[in-house]
Amino acid sequence: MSSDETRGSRLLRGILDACLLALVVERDRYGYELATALHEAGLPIVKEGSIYPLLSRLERRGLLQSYRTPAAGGPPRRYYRITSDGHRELAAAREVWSEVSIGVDAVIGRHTRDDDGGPTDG
Amino acid sequence: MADQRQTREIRRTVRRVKNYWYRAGVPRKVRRDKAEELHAHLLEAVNDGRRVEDVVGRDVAAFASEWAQAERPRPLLDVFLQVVAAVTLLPGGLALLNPWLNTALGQDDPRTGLPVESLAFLAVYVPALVGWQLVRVLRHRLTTQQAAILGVLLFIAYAVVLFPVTGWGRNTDAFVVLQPTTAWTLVIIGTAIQGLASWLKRSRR
Repeated sequence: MSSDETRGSRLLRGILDACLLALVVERDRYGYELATALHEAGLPIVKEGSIYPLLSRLERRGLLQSYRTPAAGGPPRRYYRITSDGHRELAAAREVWSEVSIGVDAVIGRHTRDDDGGPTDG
Repeated sequence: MADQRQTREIRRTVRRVKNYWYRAGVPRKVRRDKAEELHAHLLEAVNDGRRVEDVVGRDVAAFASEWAQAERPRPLLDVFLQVVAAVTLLPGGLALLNPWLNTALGQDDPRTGLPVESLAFLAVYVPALVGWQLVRVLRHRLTTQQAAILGVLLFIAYAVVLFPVTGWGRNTDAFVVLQPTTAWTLVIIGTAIQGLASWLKRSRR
């Protein structure tokens, strides 16, 4: 595992639950579908199975509900749907992420500009 | 489609994860549901050209452990509190009920306490309750062999307690007198402990 992957996973850890809620809010989804959607969005998930503990926690907190549906030509699938508490949690997470990402962009962006331009003398 | 080797690997991985959950104390129904979910995921991932390792990582035990923690196995404290509550509540409750039961049965014995029938009931019920709760909690954490040894030890302990108590009761027409204050104290303590156990359970949700 590269250090970039590790850093990405660590950064993602705190916001992955909100990402899962955001995917489920579009439509009911099952685990594999969620993992694939996260991959396709370019999120650096080291192991896709790591979404399951999060799904369990979200379900336990009443933010998601799950139900089992037979799948054609395969084992049954467990779909997840968002609850009203889940909607509220997602709205709150979006607000926090918006503030944090603006702040982080401002700080990291500033350093990038300094590095690019070299030290500035007065 | 997954070939035979991949199918075997999927089954082996799910079995390893399930065994880990069993020892970690994850309830049976949750284990079954989640194992089914993992199996479906692995199958679909392999069919899409991914590897089992891409899903669970290299350390299957760490993966299983992370998931088990999310499932929050029933803590030992809950079981301990519930057993203590039952063991406190039952004698107190039975002792308080005794005068009422006697009146209902047309007997003239207004004493608060435990007649031989109540003692026999407690001698059967309390060890059975304690034993059953022990098995329920520990069976997830023990190997099959350890669980079998525990079962045998509990059975022996049960027999050791049960036979002398019931024999003694039958021969002596025993009656353990409990003052109403003592019986009420037991009931209040038992109810408070049961309330604490319920509150702890709710607060963890």
